[in-house]
Amino acid sequence: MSVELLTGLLSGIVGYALGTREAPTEREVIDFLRQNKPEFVRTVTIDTSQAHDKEPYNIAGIFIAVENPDTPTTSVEIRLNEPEAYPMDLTKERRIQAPFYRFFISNTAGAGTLTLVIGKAYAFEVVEAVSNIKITAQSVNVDIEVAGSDIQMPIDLQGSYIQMPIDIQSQYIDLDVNIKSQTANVNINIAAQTIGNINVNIAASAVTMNITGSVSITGTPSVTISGTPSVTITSGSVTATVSGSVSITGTPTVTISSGTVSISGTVTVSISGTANIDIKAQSVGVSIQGEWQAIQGTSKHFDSFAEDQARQDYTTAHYQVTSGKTFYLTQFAGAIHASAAADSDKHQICYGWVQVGAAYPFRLGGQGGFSLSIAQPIKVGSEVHIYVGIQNVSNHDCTLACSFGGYEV
Amino acid sequence: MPMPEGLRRIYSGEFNYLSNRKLPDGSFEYYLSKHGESVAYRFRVRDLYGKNEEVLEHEIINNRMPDHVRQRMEEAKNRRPT
Repeated sequence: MSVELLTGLLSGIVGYALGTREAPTEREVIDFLRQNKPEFVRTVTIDTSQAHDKEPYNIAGIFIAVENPDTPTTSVEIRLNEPEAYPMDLTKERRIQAPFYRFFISNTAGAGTLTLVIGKAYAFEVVEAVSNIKITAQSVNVDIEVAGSDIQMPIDLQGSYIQMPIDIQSQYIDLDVNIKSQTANVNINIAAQTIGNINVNIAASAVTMNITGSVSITGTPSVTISGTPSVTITSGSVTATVSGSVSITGTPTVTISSGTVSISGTVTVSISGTANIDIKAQSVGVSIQGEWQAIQGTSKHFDSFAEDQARQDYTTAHYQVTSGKTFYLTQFAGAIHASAAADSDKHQICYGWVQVGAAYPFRLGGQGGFSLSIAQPIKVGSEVHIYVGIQNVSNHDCTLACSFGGYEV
Repeated sequence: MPMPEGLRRIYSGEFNYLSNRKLPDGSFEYYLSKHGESVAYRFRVRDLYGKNEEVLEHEIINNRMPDHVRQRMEEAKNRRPT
């Protein structure tokens, strides 16, 4: 406390002591203190292990500060001035400010001692350091309301070792954290050489997390969901780009009640062990590739027709496979018949072939025609030309027809 | 001159059926169609895929089911068996 403040506050008292109503000078105040040595403060220690029943303390003062209200194990009551005055519990009050010429102490026998600091002059004031905040009561309301146009509440804790456990226990907890702002930045930065555990335990019958933006998890995290979780996606789409591997262990059940599952690109499904595929539906069709492509509308059919072709004449149906696609040949056929009715009873012999690029995977002949369904489709690569032809090798004019088909994907 | 649609379909692969008929002059008449489309293409080409490829004729053909057949189908569908 500064000398100036002490001087100002004591001026009335000292002036009164000096017998003058005029304010004394600073010199006069100092001289008064030197000569009279007044007692501004004293302490009183109460042994609370002993019971007291309105035990009188003839000490005057203007305030009482309780040094250690947490120490006594029983309540310690104080009554100011008169034994019948209203009692105040010194284990709950840290400071009492009122003029008194004596006080009375009551307590049942417990443990510990209670120290009171008694101020006897207005110039003396004790401001206690805030070290521990402890609120103990059956019912507590602690409202902290800070209103302002610009509020900054930085909490800066620096120490070689910081421990901040927050323990909230109750039968019912309503903990609302509302952050409303035009722009909100909520950054949680945890940087440490070693992070042992970041445990977020949410135990509830239902948890709703509304995220309108995106959630990014980078690095190589491991996410383990144990128990019997249920993931429901009500709308929108889910995109999972996985460059590594996805392993599903245990005995999970994947149920798709309705909708469409589309797999694009090249997918390899390897099943080792026993795979039981149980398809129960009113209508289920499992198609081989050629059948499926016909259903999908990617099948292609070609034919060529030529009338009155002399011996050695021929006709072809042909196709240059579209760039970027592959054609699979699944069947081809040819037919021949005489052009003139007079030749109908003769042999009508034909020769047929399939040419893929420079290769001839099939050559056929026959009387009246031929046909071939290819169990193992002939693959015709992108931009390769495929020809199917039929030639008249009879000794008279004939009508020729040939056809081939497959699918292009 | 832009490539006629029928020929373009051959080169783009947008078809399901492609028929040809060899004509006495060495050209071929093509008939091209695709599932779900109500039109088809008939065109005459000389030297298809060749350097001197030439489209001699080209026309778009109505490939829809005739109206009188459609009406009969509707009638058959809506009439109860007698």
